Amino acid sequence: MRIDQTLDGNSARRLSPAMIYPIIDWFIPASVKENSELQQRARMFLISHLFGPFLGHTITVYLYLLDPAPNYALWVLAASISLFLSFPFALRWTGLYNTLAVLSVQNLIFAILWGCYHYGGLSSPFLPWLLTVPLLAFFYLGSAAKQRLLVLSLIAFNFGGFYVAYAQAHHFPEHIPLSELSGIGIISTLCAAVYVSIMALYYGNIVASQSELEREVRRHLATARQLPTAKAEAERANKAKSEFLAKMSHELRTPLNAVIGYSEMLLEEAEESGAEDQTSDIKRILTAGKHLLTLVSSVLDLSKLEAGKMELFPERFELGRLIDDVQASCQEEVAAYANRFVIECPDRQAILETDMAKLRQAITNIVNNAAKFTRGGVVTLTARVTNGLAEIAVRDTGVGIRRENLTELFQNFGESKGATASKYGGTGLGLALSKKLCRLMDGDIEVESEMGKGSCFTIHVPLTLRTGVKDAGVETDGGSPHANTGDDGNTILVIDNDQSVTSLLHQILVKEGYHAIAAHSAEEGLALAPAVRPGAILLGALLPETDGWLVLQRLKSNDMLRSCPVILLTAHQDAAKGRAFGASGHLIKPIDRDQLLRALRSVRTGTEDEDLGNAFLDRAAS
Amino acid sequence: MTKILLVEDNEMNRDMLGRRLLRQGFAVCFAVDGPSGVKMAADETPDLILMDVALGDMDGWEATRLIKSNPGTRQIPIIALTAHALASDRDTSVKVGCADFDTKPVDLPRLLGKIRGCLAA
Repeated sequence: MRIDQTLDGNSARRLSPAMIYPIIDWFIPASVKENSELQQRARMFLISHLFGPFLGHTITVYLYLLDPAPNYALWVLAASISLFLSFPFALRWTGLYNTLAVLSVQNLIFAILWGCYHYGGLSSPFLPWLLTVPLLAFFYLGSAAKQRLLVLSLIAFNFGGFYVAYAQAHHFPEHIPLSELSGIGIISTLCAAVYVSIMALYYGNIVASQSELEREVRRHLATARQLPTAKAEAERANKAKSEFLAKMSHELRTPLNAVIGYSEMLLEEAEESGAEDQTSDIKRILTAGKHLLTLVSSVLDLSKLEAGKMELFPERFELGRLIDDVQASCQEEVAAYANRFVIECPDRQAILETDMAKLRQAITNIVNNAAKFTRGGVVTLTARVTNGLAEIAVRDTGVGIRRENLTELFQNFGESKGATASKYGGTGLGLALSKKLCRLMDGDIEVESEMGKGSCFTIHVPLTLRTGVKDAGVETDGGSPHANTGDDGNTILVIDNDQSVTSLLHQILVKEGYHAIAAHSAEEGLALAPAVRPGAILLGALLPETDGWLVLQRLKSNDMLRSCPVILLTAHQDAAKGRAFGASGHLIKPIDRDQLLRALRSVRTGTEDEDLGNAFLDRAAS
Repeated sequence: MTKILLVEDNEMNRDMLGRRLLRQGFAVCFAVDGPSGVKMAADETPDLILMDVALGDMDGWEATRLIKSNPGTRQIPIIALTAHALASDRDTSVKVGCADFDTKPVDLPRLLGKIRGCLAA
């Protein structure tokens, strides 16, 4: 409806003489403006009351000129016609539109019948004006049966008065001879015609603007219908891109592995046979092959991360061991540019339970990056534990990064451009990959830098990978890790725009060993759902209320999410509607902890309904 | 001499890994697909089997299952080799009875460590 009104105003303005609106709208009180339909009728009312009396008075002026002795008959008619001019002001001050409209119709009937009675009786030239009465009444009051009856009663009542007046005198008074009224007959009929035409034109405009409005709304609806398709298309295209990259990287790796494997063999043989003139060449092939493999692997990893297919394999290990590994694999790279590699690790014994290989990969990328942009300087790797997080800082004394480049530093292929890139090389994949890997482990990377002085990259990751988050089935003894499938069923997505609701649910769920993810809007919820593949969705009432249903519908129309049970949390009993839309359960706010957990257990084990129905009834009864 | 059966359908990988194992002093025999791998296991009774899991019609898991269900070959330790370090692959390896699991491309020192570990056990 809100859309309707704005569109309505615009199109009406475009189609009508715009200058009238400021004048007539001044008379419309706020209470009437709230209702767009009433506002339209009020505009018709105002146009006819502001312009009608002037048309009417052409007749009184004519009568005045004709009448040799103007008397009360003329003055009453003039007063009655002038009275119409007071209606717009009355509307502005009282706001009683319907009452005024009825009074106006009454005044109109009176003026016409008074004119007829005194000037010509049943053959009066004013008689055609009677035709305007039902028309105007319809414009003012709408077409409801009650209003029609009221207007007809008014006409009948006035005709009654007309007849009574005639019956008492047995004839009509004759202020002006009937023969002299023929001239005014033409004027009167013309005025009535002009008057009705103006109103009809205005009405036609409204109808036209309304149908334009309807077309507009239909266009909007059509666009809205196409949006999900377009979005699905875009998502499909993105997925296809990721799959293509993954496939290509895989296909590239196979021949690369042969290159690396055979060069390793050649190297082993050359070293054994003492063919030292060959070893350096073979080493170059090997190094180039390994470098290429790293790049291809980075692309594969990035596309996996983007497709949400990267898995985590948590292990239990000491921080010191991780740092030793990094030192071993980066030593050569750091030294290659005549840099000193300084390691500081005060918390060597600290135990981490996270994906060691991916954390090592992230740190190695950062260290290699630091080494690459530093010549004859120092690369310092500092690892320690702060606030339950592992903090790994890599500081260099290299060229530094421009402030304006910091933001795009972690974008894929976002490495510094131009001269820097050509001097130092690189694709910029490493940093993007590191950032994404850290994020996957619930951590992050920050960077500070000063041009010419160097940069400092700091990684923070939780010491323990949240079990149940990405890895519900992990045995924390460091034994065989399980798949992080994401749809392990332990993740619960909570969609509610009320932060107090989501945080309460989060507390309850986390305490029970679930992993809760909150979304505070419909869009956020719909974006998160396919990404996290939750075991169940708790869908609260979203404002505006209809969004909740829309979200439910959208979830159920998504192939990937259709099977995911949705439990509605609402303030009232919409169980039937919820089921019709495909909800698996329904809980009434305020949420009862036990019922919530029962509901979750039952939807997840597939026992459904009975428990939930009870939960629902219990709640409704209390 | 310790005999290793390498079940691998890719000719290049077979050649590469086979030659490197030979140089490490192992006797190596080859199978190019699942069924011949099962047959070789029974005929040659190797000390250890390296099983690529991505084989044509009969995959490495199925071949492992068959080898493990034959009393004559059940005791032979099998190391599964996959191209992906997927947890589900590890799980399946354990489930079908593999002694260990490694990813390709082969990191020879690491694989040798695993081979020696299996042989010692």
